[in-house]
Amino acid sequence: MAVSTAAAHALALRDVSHWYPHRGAALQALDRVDVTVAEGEFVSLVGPSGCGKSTLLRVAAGLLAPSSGASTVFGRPPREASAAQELGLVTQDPGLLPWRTVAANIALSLEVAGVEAGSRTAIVNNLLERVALRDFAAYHPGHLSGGMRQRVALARALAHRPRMLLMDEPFGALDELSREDLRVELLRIHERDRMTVLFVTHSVREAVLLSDRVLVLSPAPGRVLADIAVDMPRPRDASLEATAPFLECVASVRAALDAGRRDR
Amino acid sequence: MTARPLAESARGEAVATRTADRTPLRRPGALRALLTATLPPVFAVALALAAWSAWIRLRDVPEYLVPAPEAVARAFLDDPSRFLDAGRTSLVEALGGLALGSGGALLLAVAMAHSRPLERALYPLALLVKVTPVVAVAPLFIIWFGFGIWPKLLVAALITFFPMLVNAVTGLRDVDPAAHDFLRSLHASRWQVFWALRWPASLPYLFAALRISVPLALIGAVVAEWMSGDGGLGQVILVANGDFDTPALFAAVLVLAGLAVVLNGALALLERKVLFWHESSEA
Repeated sequence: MAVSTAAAHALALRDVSHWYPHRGAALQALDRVDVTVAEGEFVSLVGPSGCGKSTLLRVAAGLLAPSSGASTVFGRPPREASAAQELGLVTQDPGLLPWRTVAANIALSLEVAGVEAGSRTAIVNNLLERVALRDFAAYHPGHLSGGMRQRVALARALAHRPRMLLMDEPFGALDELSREDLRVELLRIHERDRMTVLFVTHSVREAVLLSDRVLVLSPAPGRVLADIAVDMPRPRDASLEATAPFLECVASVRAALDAGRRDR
Repeated sequence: MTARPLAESARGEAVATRTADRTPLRRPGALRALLTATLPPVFAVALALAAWSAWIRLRDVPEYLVPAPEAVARAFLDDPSRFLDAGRTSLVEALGGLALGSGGALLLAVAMAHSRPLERALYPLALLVKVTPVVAVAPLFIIWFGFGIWPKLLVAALITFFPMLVNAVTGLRDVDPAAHDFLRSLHASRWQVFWALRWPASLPYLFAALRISVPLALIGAVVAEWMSGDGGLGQVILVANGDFDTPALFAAVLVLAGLAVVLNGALALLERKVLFWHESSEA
């Protein structure tokens, strides 16, 4: 692919490798990874634990400079995209501020982005509505369930209207029922706003249900083994999980994962 | 959608915890809490006083060696203002020194928490301050700064400096990595990270440092007074010592202890208000 098309991608990782220092040696996490995500696309990364999925997401978020290779977000270095408040980060540990109320936690990104205090309230109220937490605005995170905390984290990551959501196993620590709810809510949010999403998970079904494409990573050091398109219409909901195309898609992602493990 | 029943049940829980500390039912609970908090120490002090008094009588200990509690009370009641005025002087010096020492340490800690080289450079100097014996430098401070309030402030500041410095550097660094990553993904400035995350996250550590420092500041002020002999509980102790007036000496020490208890209690109250979100305030 020509370099000039990089600007058209929401995210482009080119030949990215990364090594972590480990007891004087270097542990390779990523091995010449190429990933492109189009604007508005929902792409999942699946792979065995320790395969470098999170490393890849941290590179995309500009939190980590890779040892080699180049990454661009909306055609420029990730740090510039984050300076323009184009990124929304949601991690497995929600990372809320326990001394702030739910509403004040959501307002955090607006404060950092320099949105004036007067217009924050309306935005926060709207988000509280969207993640079904209207009655909990004045609560502190310590009084919420895990699923509700993750909703706050999602609302906080959406508040400054990022062009790209970066989600690192956001539902990984939740019980099955909360996971299902949050998946459906994320589907709704993505289908309405059509922001770009890069989603790290180790649940194959979750990846297929949510994504336009699923990238399968090999065991460490991570390489992209397969790029599987999920051709299912939107809007989607949980009932999709019982259909034949869904199950076929899950089977092909599984096959790619298993092939990766065998080749090891 | 399945979200409803989940949210309902979670709301039920949250409301339950909320009413538990809002309803009028709280009153008897609070009274009981107050009693369970105050009765054991009151009982222990009463028991200690009774044992002390009995021992003096049984063994016929002379008053200049160890006075009975009654003798100490008499010494205090003979001239309460002597002890209370001295106590106020010592209190002002201790609090002033605490503000100076902790405040200085905090400012330095903010710089050190943001720079590893600075931390490495300054830590040995901070240790030097820590290991300097107060009794060795107090006379020097008096020579340098005279008999006013400054030597006392400086001695109190000196011994409260290190606990605050170490705790504050640790606290300002001990931030939730997920919250820090989120702020970094927004390209938050150092000052935004400081005010939104580092400063509130460090408060439990700062309170822990103050708890250690409050009694230290009182000791520092009294040691400096004892050296210079111009006012405060330290001077009362010095004079009583010279006169073999052991009951007065004990009375002065007890006033000092009373100050420490009151300051500690005030600090605990403030801590509970400020750190409502922290595990330490949940009981």
